[in-house]
Amino acid sequence: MTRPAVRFIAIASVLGLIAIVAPDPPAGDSSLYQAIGKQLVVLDCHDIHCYRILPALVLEHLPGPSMFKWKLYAVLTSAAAAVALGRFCLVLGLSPRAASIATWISGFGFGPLQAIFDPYTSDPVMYLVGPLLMADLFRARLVRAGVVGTLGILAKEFAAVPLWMFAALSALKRRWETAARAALAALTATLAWLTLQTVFMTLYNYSYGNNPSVRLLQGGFFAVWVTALGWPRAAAYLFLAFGPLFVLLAAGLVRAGRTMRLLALVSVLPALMFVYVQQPDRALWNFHFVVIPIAMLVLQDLSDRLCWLFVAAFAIANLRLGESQPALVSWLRVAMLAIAMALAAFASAASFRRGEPQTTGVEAPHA
Amino acid sequence: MSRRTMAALFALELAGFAFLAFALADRRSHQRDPVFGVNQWGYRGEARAEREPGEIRVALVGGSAAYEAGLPNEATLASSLFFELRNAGSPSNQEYSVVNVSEPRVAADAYAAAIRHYAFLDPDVVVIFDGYDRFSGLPPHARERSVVFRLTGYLPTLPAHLLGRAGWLSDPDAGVSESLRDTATGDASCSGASGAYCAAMIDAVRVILDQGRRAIVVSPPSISGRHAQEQQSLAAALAQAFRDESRFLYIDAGPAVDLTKPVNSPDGVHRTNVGNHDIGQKVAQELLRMIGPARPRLSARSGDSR
Repeated sequence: MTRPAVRFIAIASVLGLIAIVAPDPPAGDSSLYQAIGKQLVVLDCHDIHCYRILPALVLEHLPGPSMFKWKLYAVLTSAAAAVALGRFCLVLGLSPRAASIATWISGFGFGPLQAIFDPYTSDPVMYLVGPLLMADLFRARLVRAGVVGTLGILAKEFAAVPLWMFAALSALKRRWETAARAALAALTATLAWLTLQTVFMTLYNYSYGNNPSVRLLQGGFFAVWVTALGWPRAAAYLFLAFGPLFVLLAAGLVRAGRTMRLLALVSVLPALMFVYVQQPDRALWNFHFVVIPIAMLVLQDLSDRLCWLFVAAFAIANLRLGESQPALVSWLRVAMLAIAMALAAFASAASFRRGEPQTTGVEAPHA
Repeated sequence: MSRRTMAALFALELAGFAFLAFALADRRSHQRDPVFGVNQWGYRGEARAEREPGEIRVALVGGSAAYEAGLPNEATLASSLFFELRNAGSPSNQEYSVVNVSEPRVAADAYAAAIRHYAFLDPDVVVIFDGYDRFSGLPPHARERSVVFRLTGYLPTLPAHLLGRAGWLSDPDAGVSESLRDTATGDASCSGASGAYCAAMIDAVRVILDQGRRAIVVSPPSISGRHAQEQQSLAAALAQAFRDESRFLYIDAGPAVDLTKPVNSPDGVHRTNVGNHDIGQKVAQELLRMIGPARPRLSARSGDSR
């Protein structure tokens, strides 16, 4: 059995255990996704979720209780996303050790642990699509990436973003032909997304209803989210999407080679856009395939023991067991967040002390 | 991939975006005129297929007399019927809706197709309200002449707007057929000049019943002696065809409204909102009596779905 397969099984097992322990979430969007899965078209649907059909269509046609299937999907897809992230790290030129640690960090980040608690969402597919597409694009497999991105928009609109990012990255590197081909793939995925929206709206009377995401001139979803939480909590939630990885990201950018810096640069605009129109903390985690590899440039310098301590602390800090967490879990999360932050600060300080730029391997051959 | 191929693909995709933008603009154009316009599915009023739990839906099928192009939506017979049903249902929190799928200038031979096409709206009761013109076949601007409508069920409006042409469902009301005027001669009954008309009405009712729904045929206010004769023979033909069918009802609204009075009609043919109110009230009373207090949902439907 290959190492990625072992990691997949290990991460899926732990995530599965958490999914079993965590109580079922409040009803939320479950009934809508069940309806989409059973009948595909929900006439007069005025909910943005109605356009995100792919996971529901597959899952609701499988045997078994709905909640079980969706939790299993969240667990398996999140574990696969973690393995894909590890593979992308290797493509970027990071060491197998760094890729392994990155895999675990990705598997137990805010996104996956939120998704396995509330699994009626297309988010896990997006967590998988990001690193999967980027790895293919960096290896010049544009057609495959284009096909995956185009299919991915059936789950959520974010699937087209990595293609656009890579097109911009290639353009910044003045690789015009690659940029043009990537832009063509991105345009195809975006066209497929718009076709889906148009078909549902015109033929089946869909709309976005009162979803604030489409009220772009009134602050989009971001304004509603911030108003509901208040600025301090909103800022805290945004920070906690990556938490200590933000610290490592800042230090990692200093050490990163040109390709990784450009990758970070081209992710800024789509990140801002998605934070504006979607639930901001969840939208941010879509870009984990940018943040984690850069963070690893710094974290990988820590000893094995400290690296795995970071992984454990990071995972527990993101743990979610219910709408209102048990007191012990809440306390443990804060403590583990503090430990992960301290380790991140330590690794960053060590990185700054060392000073030399990171160049090994990160100049990917085709980007 | 050569540069020329790539340029061609980009051009193709941009054309695709332009087409989709046009389609979305077209859909928006449907929503701009809720008073006189038609919705994206090609009928007057709001496009709404899904129903509230327990909601009873009535579909109104007909030609110009039911479409009422000259009246704002809230003054039509469909709206009057809805207001009456809503008032009747409000004490018991019973929800009703009325969809007006009629089409100007179409004849009775088009009703069966319309009933089949709009089966996805899943009405409990279909009311056929016919008028006074007696054409056969489709008028020039019937929605069924739109290829897009036939293929997808979506009725585009923007192309006609942009080209300055008459849009779909813009065929003018033809008034009263020569054969229904008292100046005409011959037999106006189902066994005479109205044979094809009566057969088409029976066919339409049969389609409704085959779909598992209830059917009501409402005769319009009498406009002439020959018209009254035609409607009486139609009532007899329907009674004979569906004599054992409890899901069928014929309502004679011929004497319900005096169209010679200006309060009911501005021209002796078309109805005012007062005239529509009287007919709506009569139809609603009979319809509620037909449905009964238990208002059971009918069994499985044979209609298509979207």
